[in-house]
Amino acid sequence: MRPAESQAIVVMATPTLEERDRDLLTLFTRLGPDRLDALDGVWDLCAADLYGLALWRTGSTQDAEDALQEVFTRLAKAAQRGRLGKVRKPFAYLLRMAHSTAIDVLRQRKRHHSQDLEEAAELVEPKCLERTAEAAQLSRHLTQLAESQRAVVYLRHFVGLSFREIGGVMGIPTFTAASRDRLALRRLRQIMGVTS
Amino acid sequence: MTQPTSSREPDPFAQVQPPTLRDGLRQQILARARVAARDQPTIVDRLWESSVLRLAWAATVVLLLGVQVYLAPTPAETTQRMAQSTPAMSKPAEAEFQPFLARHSVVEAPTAMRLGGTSLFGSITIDPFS
Repeated sequence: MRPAESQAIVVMATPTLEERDRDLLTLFTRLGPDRLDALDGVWDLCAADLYGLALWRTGSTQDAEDALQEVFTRLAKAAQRGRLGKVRKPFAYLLRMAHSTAIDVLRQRKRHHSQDLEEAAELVEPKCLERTAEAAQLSRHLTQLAESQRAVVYLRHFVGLSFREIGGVMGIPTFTAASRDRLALRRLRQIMGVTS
Repeated sequence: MTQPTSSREPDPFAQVQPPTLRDGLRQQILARARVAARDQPTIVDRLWESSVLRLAWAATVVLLLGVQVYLAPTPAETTQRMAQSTPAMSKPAEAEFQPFLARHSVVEAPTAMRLGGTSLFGSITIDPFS
């Protein structure tokens, strides 16, 4: 398959989860031994979400890039061995892989005591230039949340998953996911000094 | 795609978006992934990845079990064979042992005095008239 074919599936507008799963399933069927061109399409569809999840989970740009590298390496190896045919929900499959990889990277970094080498990463960007300072402040506030809470908030408010889907991705019960989101937002409002 | 946090409270994520990927990351990651996938060691043992091989393996196991059931003797046959093959040594050997038992067995004399003892170690008796 030529690269142009694999990129033909790219959806310019933000796709719904069902659309994204459907497109990813099509790409997964195209992936196989010595047929890795469809990786470009997978990247276009979900690399930003996978990177964001890894970034919010690890709090480090370098770690998030390492996690994303590991996700695509595992995906390519699985495709090379022809093991993607059984995947039914590819987006959740990739998010789960990104989440577990981010945790592995985080553990590795903590084991080597190098977590203080990098400045806190920017977890959000402003939608317009006037909001740059607010976005930077929000990023600093977000770094004060627990990593597991940050991952739930990201999946809920930026990826748009339901709490049940978040539970599936993170391997936690649905109510735990909802509880983490609620506690994270309450804590964030406390930090920001917002009173309801 | 930001979900509203609450209907009454302001959404802290309304004016922000997740960070974008840096330039060049796509080419770097995809190239490394492709190289890693193509350089991974070839799987030699594909037994559990092939339906035909799995079926052949199961058929072999069933065949071996069948052969074992067909060839192995039944318990009745085993008993019969043992009875036939074991030489008749038990009765004569017992008969030869009887004189020895008669000579060396301890028989309590009727006049013996019981000195006590426990059931564990047996009683000690002395016959003063022997």
